[in-house]
Order: sequence, then structure tokens, then C-alpha cells
Amino acid sequence: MIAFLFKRLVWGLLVLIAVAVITFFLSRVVPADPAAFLAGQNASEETVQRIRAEHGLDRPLPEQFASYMIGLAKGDLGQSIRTRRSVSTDLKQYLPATLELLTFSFVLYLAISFSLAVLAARHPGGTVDGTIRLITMIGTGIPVFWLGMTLQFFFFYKLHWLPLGARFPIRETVPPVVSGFLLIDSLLAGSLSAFLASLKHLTLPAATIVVNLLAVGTRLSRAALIQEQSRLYVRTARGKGLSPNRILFKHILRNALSPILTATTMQFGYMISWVILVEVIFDWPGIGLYAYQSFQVFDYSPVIALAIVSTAGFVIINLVMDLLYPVIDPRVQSVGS
Amino acid sequence: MSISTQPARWTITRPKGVLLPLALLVLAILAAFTLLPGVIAPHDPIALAMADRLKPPSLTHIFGTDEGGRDVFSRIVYGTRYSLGVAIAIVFASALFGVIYGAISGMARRGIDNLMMRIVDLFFGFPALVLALAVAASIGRGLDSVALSLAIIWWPGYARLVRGEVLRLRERPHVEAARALGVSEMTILRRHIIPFVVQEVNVRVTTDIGYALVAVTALSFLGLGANSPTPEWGLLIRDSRPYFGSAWWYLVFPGTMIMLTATAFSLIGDALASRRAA
Repeated sequence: MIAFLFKRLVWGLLVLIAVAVITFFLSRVVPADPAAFLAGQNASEETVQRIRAEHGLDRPLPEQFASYMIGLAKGDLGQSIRTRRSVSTDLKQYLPATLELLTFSFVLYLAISFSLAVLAARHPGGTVDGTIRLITMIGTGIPVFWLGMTLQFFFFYKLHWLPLGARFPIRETVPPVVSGFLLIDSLLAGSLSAFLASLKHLTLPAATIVVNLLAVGTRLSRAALIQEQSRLYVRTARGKGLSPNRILFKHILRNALSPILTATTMQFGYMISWVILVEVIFDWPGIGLYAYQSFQVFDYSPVIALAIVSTAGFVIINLVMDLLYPVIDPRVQSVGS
Repeated sequence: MSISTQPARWTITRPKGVLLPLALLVLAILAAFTLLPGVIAPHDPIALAMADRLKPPSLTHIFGTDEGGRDVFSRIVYGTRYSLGVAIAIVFASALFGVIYGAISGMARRGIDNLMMRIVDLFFGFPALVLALAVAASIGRGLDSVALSLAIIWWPGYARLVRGEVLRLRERPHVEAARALGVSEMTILRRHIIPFVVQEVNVRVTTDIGYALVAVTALSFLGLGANSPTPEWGLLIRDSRPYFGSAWWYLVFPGTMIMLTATAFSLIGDALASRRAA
């Protein structure tokens, strides 16, 4: 187990180093003159020279790479031209919003995809199954950004039920920051109106993410459930006269959980990608919107930071999922390698 | 609850009746849009006509007009070349590179194979679209940089698929027979393995074109792709953002086009897959 954990940690580190190498290459080698690039369009020759020296761009490439990596290890993600602050300071400010959206969507996704898969697997080929199949098939082809805007059109412009965007109404008092999650902080502050307000703002962005994930997620969970259903132990359980619910929840689900977990891990990768689009559409003040606003004005350090941070997040999630396998299925214990 | 004899995979046996012909029809329409935009589009996709600004759908403008008075339908027709063209280019380039990479890896000695596959694994450790975003942003705005950045994240899937197929095919009797007859490894690969691999890759390519289309339009939507007034589909949706609250047609039609196209390719991919399985 320890050896397995160590292996996974080393692998995660390798992935991060790979991202660092790619981003270094992109920021230093691809632009013809990174200093002129950093200085902006109307900078004088002296400014460009000063920036070149400041950022160490006049030194040889391997040396630059070494200091870039050391900086990264210390958590230095560069400077933002737009906000005139260090990118890591900015990220600290914007990260909680993204994490709240991700967590909320993920919990919603798990609950819905699981229920749908169970419904579909009850009578494979039946009406419910067919309907769910059609919905998931169309769901895969819906562009996330378009879905988000369509939801805005109906629920804001037409029905006036939900806000167009942002994380919190301007007029409401923001609860004191404890966890950074507005849902939790507003409850801690004992403000029901703040809680409901933040829930309202979360609804459309989360729904946009979930619909897209559901398409693939339900498909995979359903396949896992149906495969387990045809196993001999299920027939035995039925022969013993166990109730269908007991068979489903006690026997089938336990065995189908591993493939579902694998599918869920994959879904995380998509989720991290979609969250950027969703933040842009709903004006959600997270790291995706921050990176987007930056590259609109040709400020690229935040984009590269986003790539590094989200990869780190993905690596951690993969690690956690790897650790979950032996918990949900003791047979995995020995497969460590 | 009876013991299921249904396959775990959703096959298209039932929807085949209606959905497959529909998907093929969508494909035919897309082909017409791509090849003969000038014949199909009733209006100029670029020229401004401010008098017709943001008009709802009518007989002259069946999908309405945009903020420049341009015909949304004509813009969608002309845009097919950009959006779908780039998506197809990405998938073909990735498939080609992936087939070569995967074939080499599958035929190589163990050490090299291992190393090559670890590199592929690395790509599965990144959130793909975020990486593409960073690459595209660094290279600079344009459809070509969108194409390149998506191809960079797309090929590893093909490399993995092809390598698996090659390993499987290598043990087949017809390959062993060829080897026993003294046929060179290169010829075995070319004549006895690649033709089988290509069939498998075809299925994947078909489905992937739809996904690539969604990815291309997503990056365009973020402002990394084509510049206005190019009628690229993702850019149309980006441009519609200030207006769609009062001009639903500007949002609805380009998005529906992306959705129909992606679903059509995935249905046809499914049909190819189940025909191969049968």
C-alpha cells in the first residue's frame, strides 16, 4: 500500500513537472520576444530592456528554466499585468468561488447520475431506459457555453426566476469569510436570506455543468450496473428470494462501484475544463473568469497559472480516487502496481 | 426484474429506424453547406446591412439577422467550412499521428514501448481543455492555433487505441504465419496489421469529429479562435452575447447547428461500431 502510494505520488509529481515544462516552453520560447510581449505594445526600448533584465530574460535558457522551476516550487506563478499583483495572490482571492461551484456541481452530478443509472438499469431496453438514453445522447452534443446561455435566456430573460450571473447580489451583505464557500459562510452567519441568495446564484452555473457531465456519466454507470446484473451471484440472490431493492443496493451496487469511480475520475477532467466556460458565461468570480479576463488583454501568466493549478487539482483528485478503490472493493488491495 | 440478456452497451438497434437516416441527412446537408455555400446561402455573410439590424426570423431571413443586419442562416452556411473544417482537420491529424505513434510503440521493444506509453499517460493526467487553452493563448489568436492546440491534446487517445490493437493483432495467426514465412516486420505492419487497425480508428474518428467540433467552438467562444467577422459558429455565439436576451434567434440557431452536427456524428459512429461488432 505504501509502495503504491509512493508510486502514485511520484507519478503526480511527474505530471506537474511536464506541465511546468510545457508552460515554460510556451511562455519563453514560443513568443519571439517575451520581454517586448510583457512590456506591452507601446513600450519604449528602455522599458523592454529593463523588463528583460528584471525577469532574467537576458540569461541563458537553461538558467531561466532552473529559476522558473524554483519559483514554481515556492509557489511563485509570476505577475499579472492586468491586476498588477502576483498571480498567486490573485488566485487565492478567486479560488474559493471556483471550488464552491465545483463541489456543488459534483455533489449534484453524483446524486442525479446515480439515480438515473439505477432507473435505466431496472428495465434495460424499457421506456425509461430509452428516454434516458435519448436525453444523454443529445446531452453529449450540447456545447456547454451554449447551454449556459440558453438557460440564462429562459430563467433570467423570460421567467425572471434566477439571476443572470455573478456569485452574490450586490445589495445583500456578504457574510464574513470563514470557509470561502458562501453557502456555508451564510449559514454560519445565521443569514437565511444570504444562503438562499447564493443558492440562487449557484443554480444555473451548476445545472450547466451537470447536464453535460450527466450525458457521459449516466451512460457509463448504467453500463456498469447492467453488466453486474447479469452475473451469477445476482441470479443466486434472486433465487433466494431477496427483494429487488436489496439485491440492487446490497449486492449489485457494491460491485459496480469501481467502474463507476473510474468514470467519475474521468468526469473531473471535463468538469475542470467546463468550469472555465461556465464562469465566463455566468460572470462567476473564480479562477476561470480571472484567466479569461487576463488573456483578453494579452496577459498570459494567469492562463499558465490556471493550467498549472488545475493540473495540480486533477492530480490530487486522481490520487484520492486511487486511494478509494481499495476502500470500496477490498479485492483491489493486491493490484497496487 | 428478469435476468438481463441486453448488451451492456446501448446499441442503436431501436433508434436505427428513425435516427440513423436523420443523422445521414444532417451529414448530407453539412456536405452541401461546405461544398456549395454560395449556392445555398441567400445573402452575403460578411457585408453589413444596418437597416436590417437584429430582425427576427422571416421569409427573407429564415434564421433572422445579427447586430450588423447580416443573415444568420447565411453566416451559419458559410461558417460550416471553418468550424467543421477545423474539427475534421484536428481529428485527422491526431489520428494520423496517433496511428504512427501507436504502431511504433506496439511493434517496438518493451523498454521503448513503455517509455512511449508513459508519455501518452502523461497527457491523461492533464485537464485536456485547460491545457489546450493555455497553448492556444500562448501561440496567439486564430483558428490555426486552436487547431494546433487541440491536436496536441487529441492524439494520445489514438496512440493508446492503436497500440492496444497492434498488440492484439500481433498474436493473430495470420501475422504469425507471415512472420514464419519470413516477411519483414515493416511489411507485416503495413499489410497485415494497419488495415485492421484503420477500421477500428474509423469508428473513433467519426465520433470524435463531433466532440472536436464542440471543443473548437468552445475555444472560439472564449475568443481564441477566428476574428470577427468570420462566420465561425462558436464566434457567432460569442458575438450574440450582448443581444441574445432580446434576439433569441441569434443564440438558438448556431447552437442548434453545433448540437445537431455533433449528435449526427456520434450516431453514425455508434452505427459503425455496432456494425463492426455484429
